[in-house]
Amino acid sequence: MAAGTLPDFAVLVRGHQAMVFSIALHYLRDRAAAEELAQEVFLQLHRRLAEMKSAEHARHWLRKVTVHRCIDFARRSRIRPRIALEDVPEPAAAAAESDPMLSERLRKLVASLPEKPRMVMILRFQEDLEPGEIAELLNMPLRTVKSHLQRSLAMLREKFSCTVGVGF
Amino acid sequence: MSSLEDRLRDALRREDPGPEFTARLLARAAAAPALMPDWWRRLAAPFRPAKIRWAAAGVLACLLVVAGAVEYRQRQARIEGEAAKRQLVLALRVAGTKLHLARAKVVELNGGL
Amino acid sequence: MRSAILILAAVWPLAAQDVKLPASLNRLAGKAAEVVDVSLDGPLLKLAGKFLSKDDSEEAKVRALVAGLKGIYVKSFEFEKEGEYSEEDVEAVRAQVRGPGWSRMLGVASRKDRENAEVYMKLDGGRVAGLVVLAAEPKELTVVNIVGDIDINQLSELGGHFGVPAVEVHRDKKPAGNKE
Repeated sequence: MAAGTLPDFAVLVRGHQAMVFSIALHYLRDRAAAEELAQEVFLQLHRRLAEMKSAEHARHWLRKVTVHRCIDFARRSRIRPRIALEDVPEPAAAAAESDPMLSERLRKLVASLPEKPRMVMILRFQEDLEPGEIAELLNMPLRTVKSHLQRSLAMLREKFSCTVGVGF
Repeated sequence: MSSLEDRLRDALRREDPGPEFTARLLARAAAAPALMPDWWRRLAAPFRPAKIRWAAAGVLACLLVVAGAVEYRQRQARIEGEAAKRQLVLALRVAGTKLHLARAKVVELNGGL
Repeated sequence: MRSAILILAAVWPLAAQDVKLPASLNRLAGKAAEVVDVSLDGPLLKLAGKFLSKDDSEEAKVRALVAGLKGIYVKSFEFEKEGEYSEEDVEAVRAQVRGPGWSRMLGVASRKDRENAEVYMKLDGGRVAGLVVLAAEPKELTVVNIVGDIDINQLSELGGHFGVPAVEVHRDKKPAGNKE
C-alpha cells in the first residue's frame, strides 16, 4: 500500500476478519456473539478509516479494539464463564493424539480461564505474540503476563495430561 | 517447544467467519458511509471524475440507470432488511442481558436459592 | 451513580412505545463513548423478521419472539467515567411507569457493585403486554422498551445465544484454579 493512501476497507476486512472473529470466538465461546462483536469492530474501523495511517496500523488497531471489546463484554455480563473449569469433563479413556476432540477440549479449557489469563493465552497461542507485545496490548506489566502464561499452562498441563495419557 | 503448546496453537488457530459474514459486513458499511474529515473531502474534491456529455453515452447511461434501479432497490431492500435484523438481534441481546443480570442479582442476593 | 435496572411493560392495546423515552436522554449521546440506539417499530420489526431464517434454530426462536411485538426501543450509553448522567435522567424514565397497570416485579440493590435492578411489567388479560428495562451502572445507562405481546420464557430462552449470558450465578461456587 502506497504511503499516504487510505487503506481499502474491503481489503482490510478480508485480510483480518479471521483474526478479529477468532479472538472473539475463542474468548467468548459464542459464535453469534463473536460474529456480532467482530462486525461492530469492523464498523468502528469503517467510521475511523481516515485515521488509519497504514495497513499495519489498521491491523494493530483491529487487534487492540477486539481484545478490549471482548474483555469489556465479559465484564459487562458479570456472569461466570459459560464453562467452569471443574465442569469440563475428563474423557473416560485416554484419547488418541490425533483425536479432534482434543482440540475442542483444549478450547474449552482455555475458555474456562478467568478474563485476563484467557486473553493472554489467546494472544500468545492464536496470535503468536511475544509476552512483551501482549503486555503492551493489554496495558499489563510484563511479569503479570508471564505469570498468567505460566499458571495457565500449568493448569492446562494438569488437566490435559489426564486426557492424552502422557505427561507434559 | 512442548507438545501442549503445539496443541494449543492448533486448537486456537484462526477460523474464518465465512463469505456471508463478509458480505453482511460490507453491506452494513455501505449503508453507513465512513466519516471523513472535512479537510479530506475538500482535498479530494478537485479529483472527482469529469462528467461525460456524449449523447450515445447518455442514452446508454439512461438504459443502465433503469436496469440498475431495479437491482439497486432490491439491494437496498436487502441491506435495510439485514440492517434491521442486526438491530433487532442487538436490541434483544441488550434486553436479554439486562433481564438476565436482574435475575442473577436476585439469585445472588438470595444466597443462590 | 448507582445502577438501576427497571423493566417496564407497555400495554397491548395502546400505540407502540406508550412509554416515551425522555428527550433528555439524547443529550447523553454526546458524552458517551459508546452508544446503542435501536428503534424498531411495527414495519421495521416485520422487515427484520423476514430476514430471520426459519431453518436456523436460533433465528427461528427470535422470529417466534418478535411475532407478537409492536416495537423494540433501546438506548444504551457507555461512558468513560462515572457521573456522566444524573439521578434526574433515571427518574425521568421511572416516572413513565408509575401509571395505572404497571407493576414492579423486581427490585434489587447492590451497594458493592453500585447496581440497582428494578423490573416492572404491565399485564393485560394475564399476559405480559410489554417490558421496559432501565439499567444504570456507574459508567453505563441502558433503557429498553419492548412493546407488545411478550413471552418472557422465550426472551429468557435467548440465553446462550446472540451474546446473552447462559449461565446462572452461583453465590459460593468458585472453580478450582480460577485465580487471577
